[in-house]
Amino acid sequence: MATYDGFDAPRGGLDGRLGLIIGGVCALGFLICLWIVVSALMERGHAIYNTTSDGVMWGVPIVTYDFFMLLSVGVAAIASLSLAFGIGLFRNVVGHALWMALACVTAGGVALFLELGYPLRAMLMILPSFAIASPLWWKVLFVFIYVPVLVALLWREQHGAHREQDWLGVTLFLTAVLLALTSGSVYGAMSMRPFWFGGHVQVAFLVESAVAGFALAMLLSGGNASETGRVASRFFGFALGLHLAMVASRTLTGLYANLEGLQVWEKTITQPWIYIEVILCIALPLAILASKLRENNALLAAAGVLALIGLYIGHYEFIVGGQLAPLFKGAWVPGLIPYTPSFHEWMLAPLSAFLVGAVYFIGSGLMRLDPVSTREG
Amino acid sequence: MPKWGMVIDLEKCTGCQACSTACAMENDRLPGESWQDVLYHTEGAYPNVKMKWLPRPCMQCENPSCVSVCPTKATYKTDDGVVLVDWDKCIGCKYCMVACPYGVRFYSDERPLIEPDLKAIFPGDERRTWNPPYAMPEHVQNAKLGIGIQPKGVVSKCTFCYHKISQAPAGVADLDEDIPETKEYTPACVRVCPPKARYFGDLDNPESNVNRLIAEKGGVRLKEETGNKPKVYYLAGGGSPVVPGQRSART
Repeated sequence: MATYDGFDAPRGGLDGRLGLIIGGVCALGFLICLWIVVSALMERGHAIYNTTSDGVMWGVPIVTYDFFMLLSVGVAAIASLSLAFGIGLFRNVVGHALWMALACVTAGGVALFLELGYPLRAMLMILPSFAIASPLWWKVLFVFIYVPVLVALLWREQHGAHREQDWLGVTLFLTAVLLALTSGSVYGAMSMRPFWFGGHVQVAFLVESAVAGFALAMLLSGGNASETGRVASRFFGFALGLHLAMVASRTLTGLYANLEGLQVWEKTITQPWIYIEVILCIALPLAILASKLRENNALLAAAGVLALIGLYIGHYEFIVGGQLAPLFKGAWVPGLIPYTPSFHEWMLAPLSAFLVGAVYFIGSGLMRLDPVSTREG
Repeated sequence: MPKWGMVIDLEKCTGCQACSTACAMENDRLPGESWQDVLYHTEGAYPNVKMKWLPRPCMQCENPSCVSVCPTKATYKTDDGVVLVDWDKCIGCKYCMVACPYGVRFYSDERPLIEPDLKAIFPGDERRTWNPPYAMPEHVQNAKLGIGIQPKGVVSKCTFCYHKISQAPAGVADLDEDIPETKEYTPACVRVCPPKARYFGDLDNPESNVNRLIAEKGGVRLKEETGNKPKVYYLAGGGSPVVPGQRSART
């Protein structure tokens, strides 16, 4: 196993055959989910989703897309700690992080394409339109920079040409941060939807991407098995603490407010999901990370996975919650709009997760994602 | 260039929905896909309950959030201030629907809002979501202006009957069914309104009836706090238009 300047090597990607087997199983799962969704889409169009013009317009497909986008920029930012800032401690996880970032952005893109009315037209028409007033235009611009930069850096890593503190790494860091911020702006700029509106949303997205990034970096570098994993787990705990503070402050502020639209918080606290998110997916991982339990690698991995699940729940509550207060469509509702995702909407979540698994594990089995030792050369 | 605007007198409106029906017939709307809707709600609690309503077309805002957020500029504002959708550019992302404070937009590829599903009864083709036997004449339909029957996977909305008002004689102050020269250019919802609760004209023309009504009767706009500056004004006897307080009631 190659090592890098004194740090023990990461064990994120499963070696050879096992990685390929897991990747193959994930690929099979992805293909089954894709067949279920695409065949229904071809037969019944977007009527297979429970999103409607007089109800919730952005449902689980957008939640899934946004979630994987956030994972991608989070883990890419971790890779850029080495590539942009020369923090050698994270050198070991660069290859895995770049590949995982590419897998996640692909999975998010697939979920989005299965939601859009005209996905190919979107690819061709958004940038030339120069609709600079739209946060979505900026988001697409950054994606069009981000993905090629990811590919270029990955190619460079594959060819043993690792470089630190160079412009490509800096570009990756900047686009990752800007993508997290513009993802927040898509919602935060909506003054007509008080549940979303506010400058804090962009910051919340940035913190969430940091949580995702450090959690994935910890998982990819094998947790306690490597120094990188150990350090990543400390940063993961710090980011998770910030995330908890933001969730708590938004919830409490919402409960004290009487502005139209913010009554969603009252519904939120009557549902079990926020408690699952806060207690099981934030507080419990924090407890593990803050105690001696962190020495147990399985518990550390569980903390990472739970935090990621919590981010998905939080994204669902945020994106759907922002649309539950009816505007002026149809018969006015004396309360909140009911929304239950359809079977095909839910299928997009495993579809994207399987795709990430397939791309990452097959890639880690076939490619050299671990760093080539400078001493070996 | 005129700045077209509408005035709706809530003290005259009877909630008969003739406007909704005329709009649906004029613009080939599906049931429930009411570009011109009348929203009903109740106020008070039994036994002191009142039924209220609010007619709601697209507000054709001066500063429309739907135009700002559209990533392909498919939603745009014409020189005469009407907000339209270019269906050849729309990608169906629904951001405009999320951003519209008035909920006036509809996505064409979803479950029917009201049964029966006319899209299944009159199936469409590549260009249109459905083909009703009473469709608008072919030469009037225009995908670039969002007029007619839309294709699948795009967003549609009220156009102020742009195919009519854009043909109006230059310099007219009002488009009114009672003025023979402007009758054919008057939006369908205005033309059929039985109690004559709707007025349509040039907001930039000081001589227009809409300007006079807004000034004399204290025309107000909905959700001013969003900064969208609608060009649809409501006359509500000097007060605010009735926006249901119970909508946000804790449930």
